[in-house]
Amino acid sequence: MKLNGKNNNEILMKVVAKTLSDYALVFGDWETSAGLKAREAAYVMSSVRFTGKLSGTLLVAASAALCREIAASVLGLETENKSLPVNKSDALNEFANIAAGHFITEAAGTDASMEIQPPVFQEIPGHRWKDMAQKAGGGFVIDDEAITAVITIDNVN
Amino acid sequence: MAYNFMIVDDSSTTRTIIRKILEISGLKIGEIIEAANGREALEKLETAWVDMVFADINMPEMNGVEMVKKMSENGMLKNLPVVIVSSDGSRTRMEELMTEGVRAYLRKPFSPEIIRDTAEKLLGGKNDET
Repeated sequence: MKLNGKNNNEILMKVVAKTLSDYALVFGDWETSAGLKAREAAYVMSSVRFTGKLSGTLLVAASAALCREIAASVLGLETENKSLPVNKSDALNEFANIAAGHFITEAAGTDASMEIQPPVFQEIPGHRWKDMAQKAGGGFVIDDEAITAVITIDNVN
Repeated sequence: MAYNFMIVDDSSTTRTIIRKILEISGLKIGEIIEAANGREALEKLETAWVDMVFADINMPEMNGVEMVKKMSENGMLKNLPVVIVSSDGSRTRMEELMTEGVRAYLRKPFSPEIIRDTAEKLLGGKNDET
């Protein structure tokens, strides 16, 4: 689906990259889905429902290890220290929240009204993460861990 | 004189970030009170004195818009400076909140400098050590 002539997925990946750099303070390398492999490690996902001029759902999924790294980075902590108490679910939820807000603005403009629901965090199996990465066309890799995102637009008002 | 702040956000990560920024800002900090939603914030404001509130919009139980409206209806709270910190980029939302008395609207992700500068500006500059 295109909005304002732009492809949703392209907009989303641009937003994810910017959120990684501006919020999480990390820089990921784009990798196509063919190059991404779901590993045995745990994966987690945050889903955000939004309504308004655009209605839909944003899903952000990453390895639990990357979430932990993002949480530590956001708080200015050493990401290598595995014993630090960081709230990885909260960090991913906030990441998804920020990405959703910026996606709506990029896709529909600053005049677009929006209601963004609080994000919902859950653990997901590796094959589901892989399916999302395929749907997204790929993901961003940071230190051998990857993050991807998918947007579903239900309605344009 | 030390300033008391309230940070209202359902994200504990965001509350921690804003807290850290305020603590190293150079402002004289008295107390920083946290709340996870608008309802909790209003309950705490019944008994706590704060000089400024940083609040998100999208929160469970009571969002930032509802909280600001409740504050504007309360004689004791209507003049309390509120700074919105949100991922919501809707111009309509910003205008709505500014008419309700919100003093500043910051878009997430924010830089530490914008939080510090906004606090300093709304509180009238850094404290003098007395």
